[in-house]
Amino acid sequence: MHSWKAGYMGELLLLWYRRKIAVFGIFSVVVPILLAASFHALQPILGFMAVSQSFPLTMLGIYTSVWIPLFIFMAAADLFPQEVASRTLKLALLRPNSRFQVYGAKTAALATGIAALLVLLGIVSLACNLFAGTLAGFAETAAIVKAYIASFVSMLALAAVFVFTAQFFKSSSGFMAFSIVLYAAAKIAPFLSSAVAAFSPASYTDWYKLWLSQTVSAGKLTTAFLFLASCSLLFFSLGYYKFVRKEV
Amino acid sequence: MKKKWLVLGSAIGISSVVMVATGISAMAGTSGYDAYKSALKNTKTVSSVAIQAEAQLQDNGKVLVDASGSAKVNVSAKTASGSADVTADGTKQSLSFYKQAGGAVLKSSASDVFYVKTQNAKEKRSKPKDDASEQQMSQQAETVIDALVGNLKDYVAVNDQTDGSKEISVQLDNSQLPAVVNAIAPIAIKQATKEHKNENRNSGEQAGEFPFQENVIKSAVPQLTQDIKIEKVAVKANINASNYIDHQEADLTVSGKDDSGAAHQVTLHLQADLSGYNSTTPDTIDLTGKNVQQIKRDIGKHHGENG
Amino acid sequence: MKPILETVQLTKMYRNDRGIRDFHVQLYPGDVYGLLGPNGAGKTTFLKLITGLIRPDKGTVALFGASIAEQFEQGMRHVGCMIESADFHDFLTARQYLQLVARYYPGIGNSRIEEALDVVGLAKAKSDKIKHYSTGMKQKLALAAAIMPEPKLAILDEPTNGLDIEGTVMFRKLIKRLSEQKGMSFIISSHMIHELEQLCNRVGIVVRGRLIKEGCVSELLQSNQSLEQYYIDQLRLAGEVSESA
Repeated sequence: MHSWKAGYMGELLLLWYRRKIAVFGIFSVVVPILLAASFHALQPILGFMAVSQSFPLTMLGIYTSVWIPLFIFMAAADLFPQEVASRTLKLALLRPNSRFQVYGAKTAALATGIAALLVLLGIVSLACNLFAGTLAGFAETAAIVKAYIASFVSMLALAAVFVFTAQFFKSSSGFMAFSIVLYAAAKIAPFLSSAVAAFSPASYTDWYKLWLSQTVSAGKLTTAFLFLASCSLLFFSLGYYKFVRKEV
Repeated sequence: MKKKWLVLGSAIGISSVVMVATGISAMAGTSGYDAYKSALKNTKTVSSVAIQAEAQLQDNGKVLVDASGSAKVNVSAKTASGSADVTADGTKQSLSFYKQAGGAVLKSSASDVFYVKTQNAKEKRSKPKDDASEQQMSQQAETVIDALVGNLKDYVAVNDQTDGSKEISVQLDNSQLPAVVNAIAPIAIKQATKEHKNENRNSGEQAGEFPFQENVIKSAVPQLTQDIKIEKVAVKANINASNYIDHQEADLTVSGKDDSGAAHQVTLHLQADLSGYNSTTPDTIDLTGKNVQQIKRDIGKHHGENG
Repeated sequence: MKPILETVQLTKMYRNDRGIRDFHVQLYPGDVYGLLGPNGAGKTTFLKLITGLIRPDKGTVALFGASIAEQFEQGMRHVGCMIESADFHDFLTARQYLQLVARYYPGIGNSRIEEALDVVGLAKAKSDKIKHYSTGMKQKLALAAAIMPEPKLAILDEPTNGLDIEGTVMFRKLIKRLSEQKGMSFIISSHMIHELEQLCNRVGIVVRGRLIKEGCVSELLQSNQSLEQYYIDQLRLAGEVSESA
């Protein structure tokens, strides 16, 4: 237990000490504010979207489809291929931690990063509402919280896929490029064949919307949740299988 | 050691089975969206149908425009007949129409004149459709629409009735609409409600023009300029046991402020009932001895051009 | 006495025919074991195998009685290592790195970290980013990280690579002190044979993937002029060097 925590804290600190991640965090604060400000400024001229109570939810669509996936690629690149490239993976492996603990610590750190990013983005978007003078009421805030939690589940499934993918790469830039192409392809594929959407976690990035509706049946939510959970578990396990056999 | 591989193996096994099973069930299309799509496709194949439709536009609860009508349509023979009442700003206008061999006939309740639009030879000779390519096209369009709808398709609830019919309903509020729609819709609504100010108001009683004042409708709509947003979109439909849509309704609520800063909540309600599938015969009218006038081609657009 | 390291039939072959074959090694508490051999003989492969960085084709490794294939954590609890090149997360400072390492072992406070940095002579540079370090400084940091938890066994792969003369002296003194005062055991692979002669009580000679000789340094020195002479003789017997060497 002691070394579990040490590994997890270590990976978190390493993510934090890497400037990239901190810069990403700063952008996550700045971008929603800039968007809200420009919506607010352009709104009377263009009649563009107003910063309304649902601003955090409208923005969540952008966060989950672009921003957080980008974070996942970057963090996964740092956690796996980058460590292989700089030969620093052994530093974690030579500690009194099993491979499972090392792998678990890395994925847990990534999951924590995603959660932290969602919390950060949620708070900033809610703060934008405050400044726009359209403060969300209790019911709206509850819906927003629910949607952000649901998004975490879908982002986790996406992260599992890319953690698995990362095991095949020895350079972080190669992995980043491949991930972006793969993700874009996964986003376009449903336009060519409907069947793909049902099996691709990339098409579940906006599933939080299901949690906002009163008409969506519990069965639907359960099916979608099970899909995402099993997808996370499957790719997490496959990634572990690759990781445990890795020779450094 | 063996235990570790056993755990890993079963994790991979179980999760892939669950993933495939849930994926298949998502794809299998037990959703209301698919039921609706199938009924819509089926309804498109009918050769004739009778429609009862109603539309209502409200601003802050006050009825601006109320329109109702009924129609009989024979798709295969390309004939139709029907009538409509439109009440806007307290004035009621009625009209009836016939589309039959030889052209379309319009008649307003305000006069005894029958306005006739003869079909010219060019239009009549409709191109024989290339069925195969059309089918492929619509297949592709369907895939694209499916992809655009994405997870929203699960918003469509279906309620199976004991008589074999289905109730389909979907309701989306602002936060559930795609970000793109939320961003673009206000611009579109602003443009749409602005247009009528630029149009010169003709009292359409000119010769050859059908006496129907569209401007009355447009001017009744408040002009929204700020804080425009789509509050709610709701669609309901009933599908009968033979998989035809027999009732369809839609509600759209838009909120916003006009130039003076007054808040408006504009709602549009549309509904239609369909009946008499494949057994409806449109009424026809015999124009002999009636006051007939040829109608200009595009109503209200190119003034003074006689067609 | 129970061995702290025991390998049985340890074998790992690479496609290019490099690797090691049938290593039987036993280490007892207090041993300072020197691993000698030409470049590419398989010393690093052996060290990677006993620390679980790579998996054997055949054979087993037990550290402190725990099989590293099954009870890795337990075996590694008392082991500190520096394997192959000294690589670090170079965006960290030396102190930050050691703080990360310290988390894994109970009871290492800041004073131990400062002490470890001081012992290897990095006290002045402890707040500099590792990317600005020279090879020798990185080597010192790796050494500091390996010995800081005061493990019962330290596995050091070419620890004096890139070290300056003062560094080498510091290293020798440090190993001597830890082995005499704390009873720590060591496995040190090196080609600096004089170092090993002074430090080790046992040596093993690796040639082309085989552990061809193993012995007590004191006994070897009775029948040989020096460890160096013994080593060269062994290589000659193995056909590794020409007669003139």
